Amino acid sequence: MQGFFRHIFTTVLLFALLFEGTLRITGIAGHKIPAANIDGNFLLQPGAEGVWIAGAKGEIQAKYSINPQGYNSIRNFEQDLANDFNGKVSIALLGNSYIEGYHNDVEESIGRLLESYTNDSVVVHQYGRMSANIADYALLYQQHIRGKYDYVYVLAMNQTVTQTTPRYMDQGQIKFNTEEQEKCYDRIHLVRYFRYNLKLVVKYKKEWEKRMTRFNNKWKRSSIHSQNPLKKTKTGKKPPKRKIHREAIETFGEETFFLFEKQRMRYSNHPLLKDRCVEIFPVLLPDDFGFDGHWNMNGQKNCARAMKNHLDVLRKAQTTTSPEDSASE
Amino acid sequence: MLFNSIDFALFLPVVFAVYWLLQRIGPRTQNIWILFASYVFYGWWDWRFLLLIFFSTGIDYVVGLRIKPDLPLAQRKRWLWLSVAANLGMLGFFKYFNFFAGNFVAAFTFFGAPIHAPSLNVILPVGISFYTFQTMSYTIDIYRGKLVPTRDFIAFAAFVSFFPQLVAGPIERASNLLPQMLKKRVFSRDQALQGTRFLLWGLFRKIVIADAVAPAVDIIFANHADYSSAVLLLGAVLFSFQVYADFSGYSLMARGISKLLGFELMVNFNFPYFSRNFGEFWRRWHISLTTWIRDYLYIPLGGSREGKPKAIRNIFIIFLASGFWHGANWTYVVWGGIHAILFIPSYIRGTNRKNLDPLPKTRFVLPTLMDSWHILRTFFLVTLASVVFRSESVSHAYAFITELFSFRGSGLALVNPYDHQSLTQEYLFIVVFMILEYLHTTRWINLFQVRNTFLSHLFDALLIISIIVSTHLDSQLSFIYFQF
Repeated sequence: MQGFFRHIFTTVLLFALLFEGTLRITGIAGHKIPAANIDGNFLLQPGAEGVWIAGAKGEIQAKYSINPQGYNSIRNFEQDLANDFNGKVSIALLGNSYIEGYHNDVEESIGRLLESYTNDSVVVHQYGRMSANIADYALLYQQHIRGKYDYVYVLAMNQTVTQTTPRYMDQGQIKFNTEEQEKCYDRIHLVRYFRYNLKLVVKYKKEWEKRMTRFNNKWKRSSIHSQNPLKKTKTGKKPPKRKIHREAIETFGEETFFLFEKQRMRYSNHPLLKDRCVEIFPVLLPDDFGFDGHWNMNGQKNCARAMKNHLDVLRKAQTTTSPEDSASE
Repeated sequence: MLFNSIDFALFLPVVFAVYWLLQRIGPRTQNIWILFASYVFYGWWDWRFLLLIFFSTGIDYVVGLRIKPDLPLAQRKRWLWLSVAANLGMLGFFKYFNFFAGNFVAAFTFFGAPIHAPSLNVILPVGISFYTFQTMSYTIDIYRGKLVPTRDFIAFAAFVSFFPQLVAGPIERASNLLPQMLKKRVFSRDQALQGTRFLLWGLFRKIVIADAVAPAVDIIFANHADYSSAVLLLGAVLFSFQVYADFSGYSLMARGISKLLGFELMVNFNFPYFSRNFGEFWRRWHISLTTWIRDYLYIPLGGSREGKPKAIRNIFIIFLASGFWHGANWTYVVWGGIHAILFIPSYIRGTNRKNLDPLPKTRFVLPTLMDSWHILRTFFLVTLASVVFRSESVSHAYAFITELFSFRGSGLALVNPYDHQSLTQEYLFIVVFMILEYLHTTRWINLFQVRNTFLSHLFDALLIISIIVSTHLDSQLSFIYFQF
């Protein structure tokens, strides 16, 4: 038995050395973009630049650039606001990792695509942050967006519109310290590869949480049964359908619209949302990376195209109402 | 749980550690542990599946004890039929009920008398085709006097539910595995190391070869009307590699895990794509099923003892049955029929028993020109037949093959046929894979010999690296043969 384990240990050691060397030579080990606590929000380190890598073979390699406000964008939001967007139509695009856009070059983000589709008549500010949800968007809107943009688009997904706890707004102090502690692990490319390319930690954390939640729900149900064994209870009851975060959605003003994809958002007919929903049609396919569900360039183009079409409709509606207004005067 | 999953990566070391810790207590305790682990493994998919395996185990254990040699033949036959009816009944109900109901309705509708038949919304229990055949072989061998029934229920239940081979074979014979369950197992370093090599090479086949080409195969088969003939041929060839690597990879992993626990399972694949004729192919492909059908269907039908016409009839029956075993779809039956048609000429000429020896080790490594031609011809015909196996319907298969032979379009899309990532890496891995397996078949190298040398460690390390680099945890593909 000892000989067997010695052999296995030697093989694993050789594997670790070989793989570490290979990763260092090829440079395909991913890395975490440095985080920062900006005004109490858990954002990214301004000025950080580089190539973000994902996938087991480093299939995704995209440039990122963090602006002074802590978002992945080549635009300086404060400067644009100070210059009044040079008289162009201003758009704020809020969302999670799909809008944060690491999977594609920052120079070809959704905002830049929309600007080119509209012949540079708009300026787009992308407020994307991974794991963000409607609670974050509501806080962000109240603190930085309201009254400053002509239009606001929020990317709505099943898992984001039902969350009530913000993930990055007002979380800067709590989460930033953890990030600092993790840095020592990230010197080993093997660790980085398993964490960021294969996303083992995130994946299995989520899986563990899911299983624990399911286990706890079962335990709670069985506890209720044991308290009153004479009472008949239904077995196999499904957990209640999640409700959208009404208060957060009611925060947004009339200039706000909700972008959605049919396969990722089932609340588009909700009374609070249905008049403000803008569907993203999957015109260009495939729109993700296969092994990673985030948008590839096709997905981003589909989103920019949907926004452009919606803006055209809004503009048309405005020009249609203007002749009547002048006639009434 | 899948062999290529983190769940199994945590499950196996625990099972291994406890198993060998229990060695000092005795084989019975080890068998209890194997039984428990096997039920956890199987119940991981769906705990309701366990009820079926309990049923099959219970019936065959009792029948095995009842088929006493001193009983009259008629009574022994009745017990045997009980076992066969119970197992085939279970298999028929879960796997074939909707197929027969649908075809029944279609037949009546065709003759202008439409009827309505119920269709059941039943899930196909994973591995049912494998363990029902495995337990039937136990009772049939007892009936034939080839096996003595065991009174050790734990050992028998562990034999039936042995988790490495439970869900996708090999279909073990009781005469091979049951005695191993009953005797003491001693840890052997060489056996365990060979087991890890089998496990790694099996994972390589599954993840680096099969899963890598699966997306291209799916897209080409789903959109065959959009592609040139060259790309359709590419899709068919890639599917041949996919099904071989997937299925043989699972079998190899099953053997590897069994070796880690001190068991020896039968060889299920013996490098079939280097076969020089169809007789040789069917001696090397899914050996556990083909030998099962030979021993329990072909020989009882008379085999080749009653003249060539009856032998040809029997060959047709066994190939159709083999096809039908794979699934409730006419494509599998047609696939079996095609193989029967391709096999029969060599039977008639008497060449099906040719090439019993493996490929010769030639001076310049490469096979002789004649062998190369025979290998390529056999592979091409197997690939054409596999198009039917892969297709969703017979008409789909017909359309695919017709388009393939229409010689339309250009072959330039071979490298990147479906507007996704280029397949160059996959081609490279397939070439390396086939070269290594060819060198092993011709005894230039021994892929499964594990020595305490740097080269041996390096080979294992490179296997692990290629497996990890090819892993896409988001899209963990199941094994093809799980659906059977």
